[in-house]
Amino acid sequence: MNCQQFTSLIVEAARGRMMDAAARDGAMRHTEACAACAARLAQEQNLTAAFRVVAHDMKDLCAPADVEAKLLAAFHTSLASSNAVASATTTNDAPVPLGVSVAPPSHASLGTRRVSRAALAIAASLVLAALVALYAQFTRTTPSQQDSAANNQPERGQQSSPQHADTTNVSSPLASSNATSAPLSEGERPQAQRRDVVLRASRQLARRATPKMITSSQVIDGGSAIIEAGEGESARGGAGSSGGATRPNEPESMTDFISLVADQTPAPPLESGQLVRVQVPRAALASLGLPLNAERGNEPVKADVLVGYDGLARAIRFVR
Amino acid sequence: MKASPEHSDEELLRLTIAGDADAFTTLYRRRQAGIYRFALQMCGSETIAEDVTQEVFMTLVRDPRMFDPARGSLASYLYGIARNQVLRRLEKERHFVAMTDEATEDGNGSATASAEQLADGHDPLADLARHELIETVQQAVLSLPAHYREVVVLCELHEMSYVEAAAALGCAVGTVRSRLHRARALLVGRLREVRETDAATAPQVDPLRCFA
Repeated sequence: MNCQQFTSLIVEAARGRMMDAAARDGAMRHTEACAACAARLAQEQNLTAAFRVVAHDMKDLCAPADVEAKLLAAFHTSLASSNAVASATTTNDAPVPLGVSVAPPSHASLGTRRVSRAALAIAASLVLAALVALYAQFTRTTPSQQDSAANNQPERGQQSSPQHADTTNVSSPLASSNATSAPLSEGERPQAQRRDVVLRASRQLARRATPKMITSSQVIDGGSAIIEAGEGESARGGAGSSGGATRPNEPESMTDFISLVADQTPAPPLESGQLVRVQVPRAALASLGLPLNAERGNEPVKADVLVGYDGLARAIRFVR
Repeated sequence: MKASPEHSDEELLRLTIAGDADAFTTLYRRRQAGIYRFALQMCGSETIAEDVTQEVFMTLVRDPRMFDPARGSLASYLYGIARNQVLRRLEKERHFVAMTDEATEDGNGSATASAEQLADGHDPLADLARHELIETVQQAVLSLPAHYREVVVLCELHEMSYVEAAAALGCAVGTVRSRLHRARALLVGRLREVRETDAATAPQVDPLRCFA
């Protein structure tokens, strides 16, 4: 054994704790041959002896008696409060274990209220989905009709480009997010991807389908009274006659689609849907972060809403 | 099941959770001295040690389910709480320095003890040397950085194994071993310095004037 190996064993040897017998013998033999290591071992053994003296000297020290009294009082208080909470919330008289927290009654009733609201929302969504599906059944057109309607109608992307710069200017940050290449944080990426999926699907559907015209009041009424059924230019002509800002045969300009899917709540995937034209109060522009002319705040504005077959509105675009 | 001293710490904790005050008292009486001494040896203040002991067991009263048996013994868990409390207190009070040792201020008490020791046939010089040694070692331990000090206190003064100390400190066994080696080396160096300083400042006796 050399001095370096001895150094790795010196504390164990000095402390007198259990160690490998061969290593201990080797260390002892080394100290017989090396005076410096023998001196270091002696110092370490003196230190161990000093520690034992200190430990022995302090072995009877303990916390004052009043600490125990305080802790017992705290223990009983904690136990009593746990039992009080339990008796207030349950009819069971069994003591509540220490450290178990029981939810206060207000929280419990709040939870029930939340559940009932959620159930109501789900039921409403289902009813809306059924209505939209019914509407789709009634207004389904043949593929040839759809193709001819699509051929008559200019491409949406072309419409919203340069000659209608005033309309594209009002596209929201949401709508333009897929066009920009600003770096996103880890948390923002899935949300942005979800928005992109919705917006891509919206554009594809917009190319295939033609909006149906209904009024906002009809939508609010649950969509039971649906639609001036019509497609393509004829539908937009109807919209103009029903109070919209567009006149018949006048080319429309429209914003890009704006996602209506909340960032925090993942929506079910959009496999198919319906594009529904509605009239909404102009104030809706402001609620989506678009600029609003206050003087014309009372006038309605046309919009195309993409509604999935699950009944959820996915995206909206405004039409002028 | 009634709490008794034969129960393990974990059984006593289970009874405590069920609301058994006797189990809590038994557990407290079994573990409080070690926790108190650990805190005292870590910080050198009886007041802080008392507060830390109280806080450790208050934590157990407030939230006994925080203890996870899979991560170590209850004793290690309690030492771990005590360690965190001590470090927090030391951090808070590091700007304050104790002027005197509370235990050595009582002159009358010391005199009475010395008289009793003389009557019992104790060697006062040996006792003095012993007290000096204890004081010196305690001061040397207190002068160590906290991460070395806690290892020395647990492994040397509380005679814990490396595994127990590692569980209490929340670190690897190898870390405990290496810190102990380093701490002991520091202590040997400091104690040597103290000895050399004492020797240098000791009054010189002129042998020519000594006629004894």
